[in-house]
Amino acid sequence: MEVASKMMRAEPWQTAEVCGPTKAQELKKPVVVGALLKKAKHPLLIVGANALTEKTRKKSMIDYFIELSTAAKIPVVATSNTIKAFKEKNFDNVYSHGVMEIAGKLQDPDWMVAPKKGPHDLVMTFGYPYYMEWLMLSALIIRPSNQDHYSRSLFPTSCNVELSKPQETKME
Amino acid sequence: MTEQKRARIKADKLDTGFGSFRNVEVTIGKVIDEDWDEPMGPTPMPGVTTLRDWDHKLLTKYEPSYMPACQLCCLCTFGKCDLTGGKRGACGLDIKAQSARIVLAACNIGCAAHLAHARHLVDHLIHEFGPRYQLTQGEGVDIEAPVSRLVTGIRPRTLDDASSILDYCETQLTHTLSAVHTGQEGSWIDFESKAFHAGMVDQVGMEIADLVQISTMGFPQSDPEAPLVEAGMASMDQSKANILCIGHNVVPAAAITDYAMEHNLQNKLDVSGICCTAWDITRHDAKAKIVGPISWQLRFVRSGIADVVVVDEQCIRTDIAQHAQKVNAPVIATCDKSCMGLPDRTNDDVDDIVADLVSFKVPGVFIGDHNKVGEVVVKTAIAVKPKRKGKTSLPSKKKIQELAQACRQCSECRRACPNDQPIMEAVLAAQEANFGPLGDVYDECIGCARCESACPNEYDLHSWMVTAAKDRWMNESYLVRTGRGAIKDTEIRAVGQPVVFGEIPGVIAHVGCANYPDGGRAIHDMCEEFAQRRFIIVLSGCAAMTVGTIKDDEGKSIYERRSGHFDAGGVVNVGSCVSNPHIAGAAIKIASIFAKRNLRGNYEEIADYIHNRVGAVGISWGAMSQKAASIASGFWRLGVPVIVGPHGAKYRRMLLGRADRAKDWMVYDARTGNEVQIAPGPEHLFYAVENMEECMVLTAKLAIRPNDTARGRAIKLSHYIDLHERYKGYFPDDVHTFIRRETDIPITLKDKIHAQMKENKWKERPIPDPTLLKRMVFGGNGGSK
Repeated sequence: MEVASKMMRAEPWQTAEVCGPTKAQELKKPVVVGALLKKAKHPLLIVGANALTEKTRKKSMIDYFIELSTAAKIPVVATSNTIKAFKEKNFDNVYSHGVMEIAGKLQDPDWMVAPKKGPHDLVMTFGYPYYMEWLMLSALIIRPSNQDHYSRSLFPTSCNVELSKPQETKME
Repeated sequence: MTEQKRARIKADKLDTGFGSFRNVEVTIGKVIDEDWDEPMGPTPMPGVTTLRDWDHKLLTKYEPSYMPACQLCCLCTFGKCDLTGGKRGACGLDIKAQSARIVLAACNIGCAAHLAHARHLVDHLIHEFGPRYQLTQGEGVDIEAPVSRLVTGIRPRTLDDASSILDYCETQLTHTLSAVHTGQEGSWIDFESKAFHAGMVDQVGMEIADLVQISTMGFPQSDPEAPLVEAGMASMDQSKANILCIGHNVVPAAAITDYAMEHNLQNKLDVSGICCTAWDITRHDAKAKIVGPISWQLRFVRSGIADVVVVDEQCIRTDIAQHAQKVNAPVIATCDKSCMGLPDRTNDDVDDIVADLVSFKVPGVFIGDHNKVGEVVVKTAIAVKPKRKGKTSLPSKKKIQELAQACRQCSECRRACPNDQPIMEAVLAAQEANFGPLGDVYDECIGCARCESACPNEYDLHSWMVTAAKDRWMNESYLVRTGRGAIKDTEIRAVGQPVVFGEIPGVIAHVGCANYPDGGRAIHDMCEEFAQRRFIIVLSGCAAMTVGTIKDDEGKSIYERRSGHFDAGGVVNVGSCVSNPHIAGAAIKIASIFAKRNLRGNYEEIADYIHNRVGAVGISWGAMSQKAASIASGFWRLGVPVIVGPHGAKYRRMLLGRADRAKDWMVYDARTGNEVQIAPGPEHLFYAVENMEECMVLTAKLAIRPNDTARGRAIKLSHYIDLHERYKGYFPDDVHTFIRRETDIPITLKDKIHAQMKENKWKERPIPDPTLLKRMVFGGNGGSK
């Protein structure tokens, strides 16, 4: 099992959020993200409500994720009211789940967001409070360890990370 | 011990063959409560494993999803143990069991805090009034203490009965606490079951605490018209000496108002409260005032308005004495759980203590005698006020601008902030005399002051925010209805049927602390939204204060706008933390009064009834404490779903149903014994939402129950669909799963729902008489499933 996240790097953004002996590393090169996406059979992009108010390169994050999803054929899970923004743009490859629901379901190694679209081996998250995203990733860590699994938290909102400067964590 | 009580004989004078005695009181073993003809149920005073089967049913349906905050265990000297990647610790526990162990530890701590509070109240009141003092929750309440009846099989009629019930609770807590020790419990599901047990015991302890204080201290007794009391920092009369009481145990605060009244000193004093002591002091004396929720401690003390700070127990800032000392406000610690390092002056002369405090010779004292507290505090407040001259530790804007110039721009303040507030950016704006951003941060601030601890320049950043927002809090004044206590039997009689049939779509309880991500406006908006939809809104604790802070265009708070009756559209404040069992009690009484189910020692059947029939949902938007965890746990065991706000995710364990697994949603039809497929409702038992919008939709959905009548189901679906469309922007795609028969369909949405039903090959299902317990099938098939 391999989990990657800025949330679990040696020095977390929120100073007290220290997880344990497994340390994270930063994903510093976009090319690594691209390689991970290519390698993944069933990636999943999870977008929270903070994405509704954030922009990058003068583009809304929702527009960016629609482009990303379309280009890489990644289904999107939009939590809470985030899905409304996707639906308003007539984007269909999006599914509604609660933030804790998706954290729980991803602990089930057989779960998939839609038939033939899983089980998921790469997860990217964006748009949550730091502590909540951190806990979601913690949920993934205790997923049954016989799965070859990747998780990436590329764009923690609290860090205002540019998309060209994603962060990586490598665990186990 | 089931129906037993102690017998006491008391005589002013007793002549015997041995001699003549005065003031004799004799306790003779136990006697039976012969007046109560309700038959005893199967589980009076349940032990730790008595209700294990029921717990396992719930925990199978709502399997825990763990999100460990720490993947180590550091509790014994075998460790630290690394539990990552499926590894086990030296004791044999894996991360799942360890996570469940932490849940149990939290519930034990919360339960202990309430139980110790209850024990102090009961012992104190027995000392004051004697063990035979009669308990009451007021007119119109025949089923007083429904939780105690349900769990213990005892109906507490005297303070002595209350003490006996606490004996049981304390024994149970000892067992559940011991299970946390290294080398005891080894299974996650049994840790969780014990957490449920601790939560249930906690509800009993809280119920006893509130029952005895309602009975003895002049609180409103089940009064929907309980007084509206003044709240907010602007409600303080600064021409008077201000006494601030912080915590949960009202006894010291009551001693203060009683002393002031007995000595005609009320016109010289304002007694105010923060956290649940605020509620209970206003229940005791409606002229007392409420400063605000738990997170208002620092801002109020630093403002200098308080001349004396009195702390009792629970949820006190543990460094409050240091902050009070900076404004020359003496601190009086009154509870053995929180002495705050202050010298014990319990046995000293009152005037000596007052002289030392007023001369600032000591910053504070610990006094364990509550009557002495009343006298010392009142005398000190009046004497110290002119000497303090309103000393504040809030800096001027000019000083802030000057200090801000040296900001290192290290972001440590923001990194320490639990809500990731742009504090550093606000400080940089203050360099240019722009205090708007600091004021904006104040609106979102929960008063933890972690930013101050992190700042390398040691800036008092919270004080800076308070100064920047001074215009706001100096005008903060609103009215809240103080805690009414229990719900009357007559009110339950009126709403029992529409609640069980679903025609009143649900009972929503907003409870708990003030760890909000949004300043608390969300609680108000949620209460107003669902009250307009004819849900019954019940509140307690800091949530009940916060909801009053938002006023309408006419300047009225929700308590002024809405009825305090337990009825559709009502907004009902039951009181403080220990009043929470009135909410559970209302659900329990619905089973008793409407459905004629026996309560006495009959936990499993009543929980099964509530879970399947009563559309109750608990929401703790700012849940912070271990007490909030144990309160929630008490509701989980009753099968009532609980939602927490975003920070509640840090409880690190959700109880999630899987709507996509049909086999998880089966019940027995009690009429036939057949297993019947039901809709996934309530879908989850414990859930942290991302924001208010998610909470709105989920609340409406979690109110759905298998027993809803067709009309009730249609009403509940209307609310769910409407809120889903408003916040998620589309017609929910799971409506067909909630349709059992055509008559369940809301008439105005028929076309859309029919289309969805057709698309999903919907088939009609029976509406069962739902139960998870096989023994509840009519005719009895024996044993439980």
